Amino acid sequence: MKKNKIFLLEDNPIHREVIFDGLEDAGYEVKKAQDVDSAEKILKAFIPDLFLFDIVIGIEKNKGIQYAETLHKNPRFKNIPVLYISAHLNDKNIGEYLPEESWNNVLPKPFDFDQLLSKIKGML
Amino acid sequence: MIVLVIGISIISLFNKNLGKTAKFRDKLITHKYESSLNENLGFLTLFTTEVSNEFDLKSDSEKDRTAKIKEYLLCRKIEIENIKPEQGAVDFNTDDFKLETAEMNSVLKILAPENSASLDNLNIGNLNMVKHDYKEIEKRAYLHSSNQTKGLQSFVFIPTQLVASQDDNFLVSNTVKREILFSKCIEEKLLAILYDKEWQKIFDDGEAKNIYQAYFIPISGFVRILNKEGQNPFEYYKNMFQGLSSFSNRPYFTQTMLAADEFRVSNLYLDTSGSGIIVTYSIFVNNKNLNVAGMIGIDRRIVELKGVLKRMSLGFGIGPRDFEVGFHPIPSKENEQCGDCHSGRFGTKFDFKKLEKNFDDDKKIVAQALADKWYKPDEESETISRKEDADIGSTVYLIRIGPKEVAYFLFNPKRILRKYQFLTFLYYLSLLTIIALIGVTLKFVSSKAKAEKSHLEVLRHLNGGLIVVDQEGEIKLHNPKMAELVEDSNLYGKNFLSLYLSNESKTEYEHLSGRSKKGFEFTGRIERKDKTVFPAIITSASINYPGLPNAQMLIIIPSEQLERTIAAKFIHGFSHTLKTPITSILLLADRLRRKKAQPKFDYYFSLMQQQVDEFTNMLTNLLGFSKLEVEDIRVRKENTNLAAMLRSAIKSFQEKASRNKIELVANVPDRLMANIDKGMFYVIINNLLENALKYTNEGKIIVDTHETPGKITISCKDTGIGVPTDEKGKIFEKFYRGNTLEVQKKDGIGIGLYLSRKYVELNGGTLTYETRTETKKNKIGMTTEKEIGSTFIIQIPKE
Repeated sequence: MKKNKIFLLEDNPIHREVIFDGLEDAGYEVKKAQDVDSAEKILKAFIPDLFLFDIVIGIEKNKGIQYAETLHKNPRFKNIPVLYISAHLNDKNIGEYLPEESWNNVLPKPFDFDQLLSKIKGML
Repeated sequence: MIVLVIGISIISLFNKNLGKTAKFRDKLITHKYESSLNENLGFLTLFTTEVSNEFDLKSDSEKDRTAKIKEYLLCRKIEIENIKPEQGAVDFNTDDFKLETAEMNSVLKILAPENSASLDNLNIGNLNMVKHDYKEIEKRAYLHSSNQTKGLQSFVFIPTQLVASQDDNFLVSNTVKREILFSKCIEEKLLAILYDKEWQKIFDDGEAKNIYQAYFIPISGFVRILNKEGQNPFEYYKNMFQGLSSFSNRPYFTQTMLAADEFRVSNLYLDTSGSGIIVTYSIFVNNKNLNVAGMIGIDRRIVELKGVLKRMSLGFGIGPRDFEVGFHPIPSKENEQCGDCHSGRFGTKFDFKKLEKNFDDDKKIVAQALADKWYKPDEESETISRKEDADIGSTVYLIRIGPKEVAYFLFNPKRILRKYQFLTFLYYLSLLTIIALIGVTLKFVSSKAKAEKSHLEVLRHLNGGLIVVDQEGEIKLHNPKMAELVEDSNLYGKNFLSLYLSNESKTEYEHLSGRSKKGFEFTGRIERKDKTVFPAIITSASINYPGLPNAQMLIIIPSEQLERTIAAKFIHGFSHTLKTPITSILLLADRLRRKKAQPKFDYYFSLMQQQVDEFTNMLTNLLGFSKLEVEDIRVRKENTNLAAMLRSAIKSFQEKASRNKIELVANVPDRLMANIDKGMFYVIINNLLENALKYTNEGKIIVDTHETPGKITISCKDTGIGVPTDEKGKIFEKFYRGNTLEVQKKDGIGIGLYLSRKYVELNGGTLTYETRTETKKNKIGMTTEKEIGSTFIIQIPKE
C-alpha cells in the first residue's frame, strides 16, 4: 500500500524531531523543515498529501499560515490540506488568524501524539 | 574450548536382556543400564562440560580404551546411600503428585504389564529417599574438576521423580529430595566413551551387550528410556505413545510421534530454566526431518550448576500456546534456593495467534504427512501459521490437523548455540538498559515531583483566589487565598455561583460558560460572606479533573490589587510558554511507549529530562517572582560551600551542553565558603547557566570564581549572541525580553534575570553584565565591533 506523505514545518527542534519520528513509525512518509527556506527546497521534489505546519515560525506569529496560503496559490499544492499545530492560537484569537472554515484544522499545543494521529487520519 | 553438555541417563527398568542398536550420536549416549527394580529405580545422569585438554583419552591405546569401556560397562556399583528423607522435607503439590502418579501408572502398564496390576507390588528394595545436600555436591563437583580433570565438571545423580520410598511406594514429585552420587568408576568410563570416536564400534561389534540404543520421551518432563527385547524400539515407542496420548501433557509431541516414521534423539543441551535439559529430536515424517526440541525435566538444582553454561539459559518446550523463551537469573548466593529460577521469569511469551498465516510448500508436505498419518483422510488439515523466530534460530509452525492445533519448532541446534551467546549478550544488555531506564525514570519522576511540588506552591502563593467548580458551580477545591478573599473559612461543597457571585456576574458567568466550554474571562463582582462586594477579574478554564466532568478552574484576581492588563498578559504569556515543554514531554512520552522507538529511548529520555528541567525552572522562577511581588522576602543566610553548589549545578547542565556541542568549564576551587541564602543562589546559578546555554550556539561557557579578603566574585562567561548595546540597561527588567531574532526565537517569560538580580541584591551583592566585543577591520578598512559573548558577574561581600 502506498504511504501517505506528510510535510512537517516546525521550528521547535524537539517537536520537529519527535513528531517526525512518530509519524514515520505510524507509517507515513515524512519530510521536515525548520523554516520556509528549507521547506522550499524540499517541496521542489516532494508533493505531500498533507501539510503539517506550526503557525509561529521563528518570530513571525503567523508565518505558517502565510506560507500555506502561498503554497495554495501554486497549482502543484492547491488542494493539499493543511493541519496547523500551535501553542499560540486559542478560541479567542483564532479569528484573527484563520478563516472559520479552517478552524477545524488546528491542533492546539499541548497535544499528545494520539490526538495528532487521529486528526491527521481525519484529514487524509 | 569445546563445551559439551552430555547427558547419559541410565534407567533401571524391567528387562535384563534387551536388544541393541547402534544409532548413537556423537554427543549423546543413552544407555540402558541393566538392572532391576529392586536394585535401582531412577535415572542416573551424568553431565560433563568444559573438557580439559589434559584429559585426553586419545593418547590411550585402543586396547586400553576398549578395556576401559568394558570396565565401565561392568561398573555397576552404584552406591545409593540409605538415607531417610528429611522430616517434613517432602514438599510437593498434591495435584502434581496425582497427575504424575497417574502418568506413571500408565507408563508402567505399557512398559511392564505384568507388574502394572498394582504398584504396591513393586519392590523397591533398598532404594530410599535420600537426603539432599546440594552444597556438598557442588563442592565435590568442583573439587573433582580441579584435582583431576581440570575444567571438567561432572557428576552423577538420580534426578528423576521416580524416587521411591518404602513408605510412599511410588512417590513422584518434583521436590522430592534426591541424592546425587558420584561414581568415579562410571564417570571415567563414560568419559572414555564420550571422547573416543571409536566407542560406537564396540557396540556395533556386540561388545556391549547390555547397552542399547535408547530413546527419550518427554512426558511431563520425564526421560524414559525404552528397551524391549525383540521388539522394534520405535514401534514400541509409538505404542507407548498411543497409550499415553490421552493423558500426556505433551499431546502435540505425542501426535507427532505417532505420525513419525523414525525418531531419534539428535542432541542434548542443558537448560537452566529450572527444569532440565533440552533434547532435540529428529523425527522423520515421510522422510522429512522435523528437528524438534523437547524438554527433559531434571532437578531444577541443576540450574545452580550452570556456571558451565555461561550463566544463561534458554528454555523451550513443545506445546500449542505456551511456547516460551526465557532468560533466567542465576541465584547469586551459593545457598539460595532456586525457587525463582523458573521458566519465563524474564521470558518472552510467544503468541501463536499472531503468527503469520503462511507456510512454505516444503513444510506443507510435512504437515500433510502428519495429518495423513493419524487422522482420517476426510478430516480437515491445514497449516495455520509459521514464524521464523530469529531470536532462537527456529521456525515455529502451527498446524491444524483435524480438530487440533499442533505447534512445531524446527530449528538448527548449531544456530541455537550461536544464538545462545548472542542472547547472553542481549540479556546483559537488556539488564543494563533496564537499570539505566530505572535510573533515568527515577530522576525523571523526582524532577517531575519537584515540578509538581513547585506547581502546587505556585497555586498556594497565587495572589488570587483559585477554585475548581463542577458543572453546577459547586466548589470542589480552593486555595487559601480564595477563602481569604471571601472571608469564609469553609468553601468546600458550597455553590460558587449562588453564594459568591453577584447576581449580574452570575448571569454573565452562565452566559459565557454556555458559549465557551474551554474557558473565558470577564470582570465581575465577588460577594464576601458578609455580602460586601469587590470587583475581580474572573478567568475560567476547563479542567480535566478526575471524576468531575465539565469542571472549571476559576482564578479570581481582585482587580483593585493587580492591574488587569498586566495580569492577563502575564497569565497568557506564561501559559503559552509552558505549552512548549509540555508538548515536548507529551510527544516524548508517546515515543517512549512505542516499541519501535526503543533504540532511541536513551536519547528521548534525556530530552524529556531536559524539558522537565526547563519546565521546573520556569515554575521555580514564577514562584520566586510571585513571592517577590507580594511578600516580604526573608533571606535565610547560612555558611555555604558555594564551590560545591556551582559544581553540582554545572554537572546538571553538562549533558545538555555536550548535546549542543558546547564546552562547559568550571574553574572552581574545592571550597569557597560564603554566607548566602542557598535557595536563592540555587535559582541564580541555574538561571545564569540556563541563559548562557540558551543563547550560546557554539563555543564554550566558563564559570570562574575569585576570592579576595573582602568579596567573592563569580563569573559566567559565554561565547553566545551577547546583548546589543541599546538593550544592555534593560535585561534585568521585569518581563524584559530581547528584541533580536535570536532572543525572540527562544521561549521565555522574562523573569529569570530580574529575579536573579533581586536575589543577589537581597544577599547584599551585585549582579552585573558585561559584553565582549571584537574589533575587526573590514576589507575597505573600516573597523567594526562584533559581540562575542556575555559575562555575568556576581559579587558578594565576604563576611
